[in-house]
Amino acid sequence: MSRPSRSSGRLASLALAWAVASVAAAEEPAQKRSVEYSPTGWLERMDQALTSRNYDGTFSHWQGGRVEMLRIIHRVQDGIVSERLASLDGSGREFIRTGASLVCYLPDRRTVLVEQRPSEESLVSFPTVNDQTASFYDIREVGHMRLNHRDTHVIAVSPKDEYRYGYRLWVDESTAMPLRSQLVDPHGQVIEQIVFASLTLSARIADAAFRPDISTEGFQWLRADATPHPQPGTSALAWSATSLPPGFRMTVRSAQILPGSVGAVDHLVFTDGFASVSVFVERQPAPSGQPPVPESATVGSSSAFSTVVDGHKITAVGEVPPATVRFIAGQLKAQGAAAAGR
Amino acid sequence: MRCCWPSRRSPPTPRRALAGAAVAAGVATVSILWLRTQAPLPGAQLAAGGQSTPPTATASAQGDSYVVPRPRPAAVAVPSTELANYVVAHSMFSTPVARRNLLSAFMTSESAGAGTEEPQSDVKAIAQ
Repeated sequence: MSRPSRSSGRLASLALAWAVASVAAAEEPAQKRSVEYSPTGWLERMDQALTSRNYDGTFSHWQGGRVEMLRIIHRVQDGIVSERLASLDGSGREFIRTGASLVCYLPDRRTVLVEQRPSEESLVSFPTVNDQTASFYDIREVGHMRLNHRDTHVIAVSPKDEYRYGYRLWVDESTAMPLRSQLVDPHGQVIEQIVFASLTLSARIADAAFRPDISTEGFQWLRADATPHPQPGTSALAWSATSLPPGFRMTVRSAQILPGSVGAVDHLVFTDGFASVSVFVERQPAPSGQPPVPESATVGSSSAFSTVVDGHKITAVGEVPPATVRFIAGQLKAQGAAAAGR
Repeated sequence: MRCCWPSRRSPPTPRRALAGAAVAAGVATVSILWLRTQAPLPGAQLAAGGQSTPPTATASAQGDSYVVPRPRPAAVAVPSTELANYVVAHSMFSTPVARRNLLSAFMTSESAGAGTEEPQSDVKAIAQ
């Protein structure tokens, strides 16, 4: 994991300096300043704002000394959530979600991933901060700050152990939108930062805003079915973790087809209310020769870890330190009578 | 202002040499104990990261010995396309702010991970 250096910090600052920040929330009635919220209350308001408001903004994403601009458009209309996230420079990738349909355009690979989630899962309930979560994080308001001409409350979410990352969030007082957010490691070092350069909250956003800018001519399309086809060798097994990091619990267990996959993949989700880790279990092709060894990967500040257990590939992915995904993946076992059917 | 310290050096004696060796051994022991305390989280496995077992050299009374590294085992590689699938699927279950971080990092990552590309023949491709 790379850490921000002083020079890269300057680079991030310079890259952001050119952007004239503006937050237009004319159609949103401002909350009274006298209203007091607890730090946890601000987090709840922020989650609510991110998931229920209509907004269109550009922001910088800093990680590992690199800064890129992205645009996010989010709309909730007639109960259907639409979202478009596009890289404005660099890879040119786009991610568009409409209800239960997810389309990921990867022009750098000339590939499009299409995932159709079952309709009953279209409205995913996000993890929520509760009293138990608060026992594994120190959540406090560390100050007020003017950011881009807006009053913000600075909320620090500090992990109490090394199994999870923390956040520093600059939450807009009027709209509860996080105008700036930092992901910090257990030692308080910033490893990722997002800063909005512009943000507009609108009552209506046209459908055209959710069309990709990319021509997909000649692209490879990888699709996933909405309905998984359970395979005896995969979903018939009852996989669970024999031990979890403190505060984590399993909240989701499902079988699904991923784009390009030939069989159902078991998907387990573990969360502490703030951080979450997905574990995917799928049949591993017969080994050839040497036994496989575990392997790690990273996507930005998120971690992935794969290993093989009882002929199944176990892959854990989450916005947690590498040791946490390794730990959880290593604890997964096929349980009970189902395991005997292998 | 210059200042001179009287030289305290004296010819080494066998007792001094023995004491020096004892100090060196003590430092080495403390170092080993300290390194052991720097182990990863309890229960966590070490990721081999697809690398072969490093050669180990040990000092012994009979002289240095060398263990020939084993052949590189097959790594459980996470193909980048597969990793992209996992990231997208996982993003649906993240908190809103974590989800934004996750997808932004995915959008800006050059290779979306350290894994190797999945062979095209193994991918179920459906042309539109």
